[in-house]
Amino acid sequence: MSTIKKALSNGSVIAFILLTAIYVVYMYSSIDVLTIENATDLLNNVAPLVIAATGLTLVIISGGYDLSIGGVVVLANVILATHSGTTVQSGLLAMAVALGAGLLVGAINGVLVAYLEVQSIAATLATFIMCSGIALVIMPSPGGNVPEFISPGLNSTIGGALPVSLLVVGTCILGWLVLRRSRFGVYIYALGSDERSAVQSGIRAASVKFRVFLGAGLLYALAGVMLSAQTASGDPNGSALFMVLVFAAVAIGGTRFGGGRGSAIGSIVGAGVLAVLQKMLFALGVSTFYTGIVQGAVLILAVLLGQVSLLVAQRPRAAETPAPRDDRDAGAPVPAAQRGTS
Amino acid sequence: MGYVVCLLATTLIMMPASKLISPSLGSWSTVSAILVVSSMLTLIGFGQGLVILVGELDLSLPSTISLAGVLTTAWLSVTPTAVTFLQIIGIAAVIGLVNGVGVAVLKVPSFIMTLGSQLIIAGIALGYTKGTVPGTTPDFLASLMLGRWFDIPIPIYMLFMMAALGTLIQRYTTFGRRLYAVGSNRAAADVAGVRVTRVVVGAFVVSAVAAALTGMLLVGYGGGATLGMGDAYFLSSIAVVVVGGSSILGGRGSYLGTVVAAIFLTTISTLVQSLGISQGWQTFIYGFLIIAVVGLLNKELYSRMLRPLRRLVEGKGSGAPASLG
Repeated sequence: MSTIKKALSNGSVIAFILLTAIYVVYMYSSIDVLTIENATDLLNNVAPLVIAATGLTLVIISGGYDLSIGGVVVLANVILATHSGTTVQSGLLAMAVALGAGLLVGAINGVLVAYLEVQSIAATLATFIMCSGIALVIMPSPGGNVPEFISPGLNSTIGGALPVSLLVVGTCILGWLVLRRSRFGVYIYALGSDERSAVQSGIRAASVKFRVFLGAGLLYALAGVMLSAQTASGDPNGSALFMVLVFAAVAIGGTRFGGGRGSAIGSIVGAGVLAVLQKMLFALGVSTFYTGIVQGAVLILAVLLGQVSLLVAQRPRAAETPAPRDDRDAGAPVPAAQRGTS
Repeated sequence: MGYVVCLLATTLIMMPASKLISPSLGSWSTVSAILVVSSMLTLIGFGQGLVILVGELDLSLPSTISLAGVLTTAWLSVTPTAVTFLQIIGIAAVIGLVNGVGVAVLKVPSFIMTLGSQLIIAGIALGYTKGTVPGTTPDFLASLMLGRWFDIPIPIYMLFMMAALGTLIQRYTTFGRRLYAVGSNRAAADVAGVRVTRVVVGAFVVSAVAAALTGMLLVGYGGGATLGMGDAYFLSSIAVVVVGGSSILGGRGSYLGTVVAAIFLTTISTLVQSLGISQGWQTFIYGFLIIAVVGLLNKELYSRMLRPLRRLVEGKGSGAPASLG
């Protein structure tokens, strides 16, 4: 019984059930779902979302928000599309610059939020606007093209068998599992659950926050590189929808907005839900006009589902003796006052 | 309050001083154009401001603006009656109600709830129009937004009326006082007998209705509706509240601050546009100014900058221990 309860209180499980359900419908709606090509295509679609969602999950678990995703992704995209040159070296250099830009934006966010104690929504809103501005300066209108090793390179397979995007998704999962068990990972959760007690137990909050934003910035830039592999060109305006999808992936994955609970695995599954959903709707012949409606509904429903299952999982527990519990994945009851946006 | 006065003073100095940058600026016609554009930002800032005041966030405003704009050209221009007007307002109120119930009753984080409804409403608007917006601008909206009264554009009167009315609602009505109570401490407000759920739902309803009205004004001002007409307000509706001195965590802020911030931000963007620099740099400067203003607001930052000075003056070798952060 307790296993079921534990599973119910784990957001990733809900997201996984959702993913399976949608995938089954998708399988029945189209004949060539289970081919290697189709699976690779799906992985390619989902890879940028997975990387960015992993970064955002870190920030959200630590108790912050990050709206700079859209800005960094677009910045990386236009840098690649305009400054790649023709040789492999210049392409690699452009990629390094793109990743550096992500680190820089992450560092600015980190300084603002961790050291100057600006509210994370306000700070990252401003950096998002600044990044979109710089992206427009670098590339005033859509166009350009990215080096070959990125597109189609990052969308193809290594040795004809292992898709690069599978490697990327795998690395994200592996990296997360290592991080979660590291001291830094524990700090992030501690900071998100209760900043004051985290500080009192000797965690240097500012330093942890700074590093979280730094890492997230790098991951967004990587997501931008992977996204460029798909679009194969630059677009200084195309970031708003991507950002919405990243937030949706994290929310569907059961990470609590406000911090302290969640996992990147959940977000990765959440990204999968969104990608398969899109494919399923397309296979079912639903007009693209209505894709947004379904995505929005799934987003709200997934979060509701997570909350209901959390309630179910916790209700009998209150009657039992309050055992010490692991706050990292299982949900601790939240006082109403802490619920709002932070 | 001191902050709002500073912001207002900066704006008032900037308006005539902008003549130094470009001779076409600083004239009455530019100033009135700035105020006309600010009137719409002021209105949307009122709704977002109330939602932020209770410690939530409304990200569904852009598509609510667009939907209301589309319905205005599609319905209101055909049958320009009060009933049609109320139908559109009613649709917006339902959107706000759904948002509010999702947040306050079902406890979905407002960020997620309104992001979801943003996607859904945008989808509905897209599905309804199939990509092309039908209808034309209703005459009365065009004459409202482009007309003059005693040689002053009508939206400027609306701006000042809005400022007075908004301040009245937010600061002096029971509803307004409850918003502050809920925003500063939800549990305490609950214990004190405030019906938290109703207050939060109310804030979302007002926000959606304000968005619908903004959509109508935009149709009158711009001479038509597009599906993306609200997109620009995604960030600026939040920016105007934050720059106006409200806390993004809720419980603190004045509507007067939002009004001044709307004029300030519009002045800045007009100024930056006239510099003849590219759209990209304009956006960059806009973002940078938000950081600067929000940073200045930060008392912690103030005291940190002042601390070395104070130490120097007091001649103390070791000051207070650095903050635990």
